[in-house]
Amino acid sequence: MSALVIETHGLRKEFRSRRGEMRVAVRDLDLAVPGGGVHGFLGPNGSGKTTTIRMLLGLAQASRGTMALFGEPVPGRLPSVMHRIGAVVESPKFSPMFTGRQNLALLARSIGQPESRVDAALETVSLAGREDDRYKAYSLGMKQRLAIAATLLKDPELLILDEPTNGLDPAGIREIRDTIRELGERGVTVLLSSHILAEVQQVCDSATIIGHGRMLASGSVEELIGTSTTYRVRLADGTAGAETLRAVGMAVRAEADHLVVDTDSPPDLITRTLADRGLYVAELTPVRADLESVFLELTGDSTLGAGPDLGKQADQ
Amino acid sequence: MELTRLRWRRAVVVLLAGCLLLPAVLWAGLAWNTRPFSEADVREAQAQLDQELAQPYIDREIRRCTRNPQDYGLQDAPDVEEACGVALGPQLDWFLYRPQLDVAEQERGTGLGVVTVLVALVLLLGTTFAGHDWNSGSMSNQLLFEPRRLRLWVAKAAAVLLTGLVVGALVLAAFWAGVWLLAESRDVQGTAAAWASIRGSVLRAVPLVALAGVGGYALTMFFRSTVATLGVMFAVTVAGNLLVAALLGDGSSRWLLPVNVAAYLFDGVEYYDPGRCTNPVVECDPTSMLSLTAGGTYLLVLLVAAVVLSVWSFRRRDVP
Repeated sequence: MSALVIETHGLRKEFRSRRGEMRVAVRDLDLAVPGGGVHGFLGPNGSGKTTTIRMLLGLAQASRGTMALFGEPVPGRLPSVMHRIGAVVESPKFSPMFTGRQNLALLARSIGQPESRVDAALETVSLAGREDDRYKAYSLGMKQRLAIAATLLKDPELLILDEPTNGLDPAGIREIRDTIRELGERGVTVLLSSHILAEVQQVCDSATIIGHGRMLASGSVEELIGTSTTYRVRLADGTAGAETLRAVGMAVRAEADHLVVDTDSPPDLITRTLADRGLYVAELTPVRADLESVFLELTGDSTLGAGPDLGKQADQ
Repeated sequence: MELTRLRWRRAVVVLLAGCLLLPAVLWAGLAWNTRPFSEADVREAQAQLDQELAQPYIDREIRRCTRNPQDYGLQDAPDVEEACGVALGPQLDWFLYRPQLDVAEQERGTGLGVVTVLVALVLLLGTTFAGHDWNSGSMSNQLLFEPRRLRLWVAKAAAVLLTGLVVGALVLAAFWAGVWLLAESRDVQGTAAAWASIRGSVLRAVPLVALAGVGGYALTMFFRSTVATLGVMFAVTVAGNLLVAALLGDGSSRWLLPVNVAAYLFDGVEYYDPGRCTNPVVECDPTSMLSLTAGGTYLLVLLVAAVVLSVWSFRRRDVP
């Protein structure tokens, strides 16, 4: 088995719009998700995230390219690996007139799991006590939690979550993120698709960034953001401070009333170096790069989170 | 598992209740409309008869017949006066309007009504069962658990088929058992030939009911919407016959859906075929016979077309 849990090569999805125009939702995407941890799948709405996930799960056909899950080519060998995969694609989709328990019981039966599994899954997502309410009476957060409970029926090795915190209140978001982190720590590989940069940065160990159906960057979150940190340093004698720091190998740029120091060293080295020369720091503020700046740099796009969702249109 | 999903659907439960209740209502209607005459009915009829007999024109006509029986074809009657009275005078049963139970007639009467109701309701059952999965979006969720689309399609179709077979068999058996009891209680047992014919049409009706459900299911899996399927069916019902008639002219009856259903159900049916009588001078019978095999083949071709289209579409198209 490949060490990669998810692999795509030259994956492409074209569709014809209602006006007959050919549009490309996913453009020759090469995706590689290693086993273990939480992997972010980051891109603005319409970048092709959902379409990619739907192709991986056999819900949409690829126009071109190859895909593999756990080293097995899909969709051909999807039935042999599906029992290892839990997925929530877009919004949760259950029968509205059935209770939460009934919905899960039907899915559990389809994979030969006992009823006790349903109780355990409901317990895990804190829906015990509301399991006999009709699905249509659930809040959005409860629906999301039920969808996650459905994925847990399989005891998945790979969990694919597409925008799982969409529409949730802050408490619900925190709850879902905690659950995802917990699952990642338990050894489940989680592919978290999101257009929320902070979410990926908080929850994920690694990430792939896509835009307009193409892969823009991939790696650990640290790699993507970069290891060096920038500090804003203010002190009485800026010129002397800049010379002192440059002398120990730090990159320093003088601004109007402060210095911008770019270094891999810890901040206490800056204060100690300056203090040794009798220069005392009035302000030292870390200015870390984040995924947002990385993303904007990669795409030159300021439309993050806006614009038409091409990926979703492709599915219709 | 799909049977459980089917059973848990409220609309399905309502339709199944309809499958039991409507035939029961039809049976009750049959029992009431063919109830034996009561003494009050006979008294009322006798009063009407007496009133009619008192009319002078009747007496006049009977006397004329008695004088010239050859004008009425009664010259050979042993008792001419009595024969004229019977032939020309009103009889008691003229005033007893209600039909009495005739088992043989029910095969194409109320029995056909029950089959029609069952076909319509089970077709709706198949439609709503598939339509719900598409409307709620739960189809994609199910595919995340069973990605083999053909297997999922077949499992759902089997649930509809089995339900249709059980419902069709139970309801039709119950209905005809009810008719038998009714006939026994009124001492109007049907002939062995009538019951054999009924048995044959019931045996053919049960798969018809079940396969109507599969047809509704298959079309909805293709259209992915209950409303779209019902809309198409409505259009076919309203415009289908007109279209067939417009395209095929005189020979169209053979291709009409109701004619083929009747041919299948009743082991052949006579239909209006004006194409047989092209010479207006020569007297001819403008009807043809459509056999069970021809009718059954027609229905089977329609079903197979719907199933092939549905499976192909379900396997090929992206699932929302």
